[in-house]
Amino acid sequence: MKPNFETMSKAELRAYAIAHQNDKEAFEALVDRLTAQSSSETYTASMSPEEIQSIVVEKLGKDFQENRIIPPNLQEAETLLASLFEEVKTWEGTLAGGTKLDVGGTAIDRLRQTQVCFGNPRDSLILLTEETFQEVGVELSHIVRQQMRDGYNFYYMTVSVDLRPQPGARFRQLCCELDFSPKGKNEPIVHAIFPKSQWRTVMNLETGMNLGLNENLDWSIGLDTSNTAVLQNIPGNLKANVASKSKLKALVAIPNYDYNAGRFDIVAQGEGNSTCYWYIQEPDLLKLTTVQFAIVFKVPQNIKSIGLRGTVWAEPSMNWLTAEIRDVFSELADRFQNLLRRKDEVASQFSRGDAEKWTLRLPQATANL
Amino acid sequence: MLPTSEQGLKCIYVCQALTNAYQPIYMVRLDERTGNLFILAGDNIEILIRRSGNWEFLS
Repeated sequence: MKPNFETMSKAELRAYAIAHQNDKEAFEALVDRLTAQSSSETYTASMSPEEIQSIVVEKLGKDFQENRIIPPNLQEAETLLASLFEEVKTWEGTLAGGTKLDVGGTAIDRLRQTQVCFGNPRDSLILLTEETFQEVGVELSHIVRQQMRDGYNFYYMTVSVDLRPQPGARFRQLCCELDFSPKGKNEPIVHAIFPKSQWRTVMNLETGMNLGLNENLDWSIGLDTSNTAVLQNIPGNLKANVASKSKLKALVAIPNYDYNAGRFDIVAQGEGNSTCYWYIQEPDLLKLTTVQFAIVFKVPQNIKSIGLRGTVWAEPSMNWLTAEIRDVFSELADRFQNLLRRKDEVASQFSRGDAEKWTLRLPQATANL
Repeated sequence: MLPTSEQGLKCIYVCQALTNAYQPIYMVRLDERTGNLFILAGDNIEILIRRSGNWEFLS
């Protein structure tokens, strides 16, 4: 049965059209959607390849900057929530004539009790070598081996984030940003990150999966199924990198990768940079869970230790928050009223999160005699 | 309907520029209703090439 294209988001429709290349109807629905909004600028036919190149590069840089969300100051968010809590509690108390927490106070309290924190990335930091892959029967691709010989070490790392939401608190977005240092000539470069939106169809299958690294040091997934129908329904662009667990030709990075933070849009970027980030929109943060972010990065071989700064934060749903405190909204100080009226635009200022800085001592190859 | 030669040339240049910047190209297709050529690439790149060879980003 065909899905209803009308109700799909643009991202969903795009993913569907890509996964179903022969579906003309899906393609035309996507084209109509894309051309419905007027475009920014038309470039003329007479451009040289070099001019086109520089426009594309500029566009990519602009998208990267525009999509980048600045991490909030978590200390300020804490203070803001504390003072909002006091004010809501006071007004609700005055109205009810008691001290018991009312709807708004409870909501803010739940939000403040919600914890989001990093696990230790050192636990899973490993050096990736040709030998490690040979042991599992994988011959690294020429381009990867060449880079290893040209003086790069590749590393794998899992950064986990623990979410301890309080019942009732609602969130619109979970964001995680990792920034590697030093910058400049010895900069660590992110080679591959997981999860990414193109894996969504596979992650939504809800079967157990092993997250593995293949010969290109990119992701391959082993599924807990030998059901050929399931495997056949995987979109063409992913098919080559998905197999049943027993047939997976890859170094398993995370066995039994478990993702249950919601099945909505994941924006992930950073490959080729020293900063990477994930935005999981409308996360399903109802239960205690751990989200595992997987990263492969490379550094020049003379670098023995690197810095990593991580920021993770969950932005509350502002519709939920303002609805919970609507009874006392008009009593609140102007600064709160003005802020809350801006809704999701200011959601990050009410975030719960964690910011950490680590120095990572990089494991070195031992057989270097 | 076939693409025009202006579209063909522009399509090659644009695809080349995209792959130079390591952007995967997921789809290149002619909309048979209008004769416009579409390219879907990267995380969020959609390009339209008109029959004249004029082109634009759609996002």
